[in-house]
Amino acid sequence: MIEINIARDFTDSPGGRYKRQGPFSGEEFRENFLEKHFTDSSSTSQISINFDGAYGYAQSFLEEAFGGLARKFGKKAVKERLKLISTEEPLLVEEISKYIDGSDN
Amino acid sequence: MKKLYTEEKFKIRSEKRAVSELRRRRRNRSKKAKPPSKHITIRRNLSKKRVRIKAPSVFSIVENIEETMAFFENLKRVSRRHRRVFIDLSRVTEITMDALLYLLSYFDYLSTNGIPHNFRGNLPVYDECKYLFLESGFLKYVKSSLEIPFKSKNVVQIQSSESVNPKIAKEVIDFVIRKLKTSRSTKTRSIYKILMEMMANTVEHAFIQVKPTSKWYLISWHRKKSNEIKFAFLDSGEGIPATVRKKISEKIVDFFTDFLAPESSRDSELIYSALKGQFRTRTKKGYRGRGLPTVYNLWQNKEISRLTIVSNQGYVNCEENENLEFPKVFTGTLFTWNFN
Repeated sequence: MIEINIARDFTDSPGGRYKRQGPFSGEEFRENFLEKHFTDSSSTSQISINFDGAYGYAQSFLEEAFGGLARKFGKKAVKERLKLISTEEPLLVEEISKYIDGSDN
Repeated sequence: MKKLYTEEKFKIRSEKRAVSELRRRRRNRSKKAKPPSKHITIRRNLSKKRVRIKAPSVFSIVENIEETMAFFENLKRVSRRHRRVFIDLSRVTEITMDALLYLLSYFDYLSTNGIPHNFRGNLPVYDECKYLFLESGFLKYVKSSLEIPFKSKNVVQIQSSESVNPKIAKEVIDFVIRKLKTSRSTKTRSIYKILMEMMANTVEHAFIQVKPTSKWYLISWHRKKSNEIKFAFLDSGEGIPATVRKKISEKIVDFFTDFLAPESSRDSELIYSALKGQFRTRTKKGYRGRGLPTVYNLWQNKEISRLTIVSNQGYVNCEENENLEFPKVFTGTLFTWNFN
């Protein structure tokens, strides 16, 4: 299993949606931490993403990171492989699932 | 003694001269300048050609929108015709940070657009207002002969940027935790979320066309009496009503409304609908446009209080369930809210 802790591996203060808006964007996180695990379509390993320890997450960050991932690689592939962990804010998991499901709207 | 000085003629002449001198001194005394006032002037020499604009005694957009916006309208009108302006804050007895953010954004607008200007000003006489002004960090953004005051522990001074800045949001959250003696929680994460969304909105959505100034301004301060943190965030863009995509039917109504009922409450309604996320995103993409509904949801869930939004000609006070239209145009969007 691939484990990613956003606060530890990326930043404890995530930014906005796009790289052009400023540092630590959802786009940056997706490109540098998530996409590489999906580019090889034969890869099936689970990716655990831990959201604890951060100051918070803008909706636009989450939507671009995970909704954007689903738009690129497909909802099914993303949902099958991602394991989302958030003990500090359990509702985040449901929120991100909605972004993945609604990614093609 | 010489005989001359004892003569009657000399004595009379001397007495007349003394009376005339006394009259002259009395005349000059009444014309003398009044004792120096107690307020601190940023520049001491007031040119006769400098136009003086007086701020209202309650200098606050959220508490006194009519008079404060009239002041700004007057400032804009005068500064279009006169380069040299004196902003008189001496009579201000109540001030809120939103007015300072808006004033600063106007200065930035002039600078960024290359509009010649030469502003001077003074501080409020009333001590509480004067210290609030000094604590705000306003003077960091202007030239001043005053020494920049020490950093206040009760205020996260005015921050401004053209990009999303997570570091500033982090600093604000740390300030909230310190002042309210709390720890990171769902509530503080909500504040972080709002700040990120507002910054992102300013940068991404606030313009119909690309503009030279695309800045946000943020200040937060601790109110000891109520032990709460107050926030003011200003987006210097076009404003919600001008930016969001209007429904085609409203476009038609607008067209006729301009002829029939120009006073109709449109801007405040547009602000409300944007808050409720009634698919008003300018980008026309369903997964976008969630920023403003986030703010509104937090207020509905009582994670923040006293949410007020001012944009273009609309004023929305969620707490008082008040939405008004006012004649002066507010450039951009102002959000204020409390957190405890």
